[in-house]
Amino acid sequence: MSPRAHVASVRSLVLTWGALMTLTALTVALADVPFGRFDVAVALGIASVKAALVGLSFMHLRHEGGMHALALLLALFFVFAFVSITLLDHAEYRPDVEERVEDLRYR
Amino acid sequence: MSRGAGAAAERFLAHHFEDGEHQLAAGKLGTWIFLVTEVLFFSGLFCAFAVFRSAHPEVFAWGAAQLDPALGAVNTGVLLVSSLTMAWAVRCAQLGQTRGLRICLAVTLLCAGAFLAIKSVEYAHKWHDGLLPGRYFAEADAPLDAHLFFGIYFGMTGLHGVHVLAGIAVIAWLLRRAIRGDFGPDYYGPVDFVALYWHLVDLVWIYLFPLLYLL
Repeated sequence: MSPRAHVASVRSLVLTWGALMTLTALTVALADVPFGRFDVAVALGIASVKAALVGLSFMHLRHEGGMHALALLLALFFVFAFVSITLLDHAEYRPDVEERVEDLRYR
Repeated sequence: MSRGAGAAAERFLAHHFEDGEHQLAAGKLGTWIFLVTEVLFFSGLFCAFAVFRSAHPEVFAWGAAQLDPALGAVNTGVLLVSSLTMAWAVRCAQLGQTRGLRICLAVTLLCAGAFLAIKSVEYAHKWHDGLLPGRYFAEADAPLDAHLFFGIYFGMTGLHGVHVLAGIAVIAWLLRRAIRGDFGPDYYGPVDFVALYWHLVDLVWIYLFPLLYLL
């Protein structure tokens, strides 16, 4: 075999898939449980475990991480910075925006 | 070309690469960089989701209640099956199992088609009920600004759907080449690259499903 790469075993592929299906069932089952302000955290937490499984197993990151994992982690860091800074900014200006919206609506 | 390379590998080796291994590594890194741009591309919509949801939590709670979590869950399962068969296709190509490769690619295509079919049923319902973005929103018994949720819903699932369509096109291309017998242990790069793309499409849906349907 000239391009040497890791060949995933059928067992690991099927086990990964089984775990993904189980976690999907879990997130659906937990949807009706009220976690209050932790609802989003629970849903995103389970989704992230699933994402990690897909990345590590199906996308071979467990066996050939290195540059590929670095590229992905950098992207995730920038997404985190993008969304969190935007949310902070949004919270900061929210009273002004709401006042303006009320003005426009009831003028 | 390294020792023992097949004729196909020889034929598909671009002249600027040392050997098949070099070509595969370059292609993989290129694909990952493309996936990074895709992640950042989708993050704009995820950011819009976060901002609008924090500003209008009641709209998003009402909107999510209008979606059918059963259809969303079935679609998640369909995509997960397609990810499994796509990962299995890479394994088949690496081991030179040509028949397995064709079957895996065909099942992946079927799942992608099933996903879009289920999605179109959902879209038709929303269209019928007037649950549409912006000024096309036509449901009287809804909270103020409820159209925002459907702007986000159609924007995110629509962009994801376009990615599924693109996936169908490239997987069909792979299937055609697999039937022609292009792929084997010495040359399977395109299968690997398309699989990475397809797993990313699956990853986006893994986040979209709970955010839109379940919260």
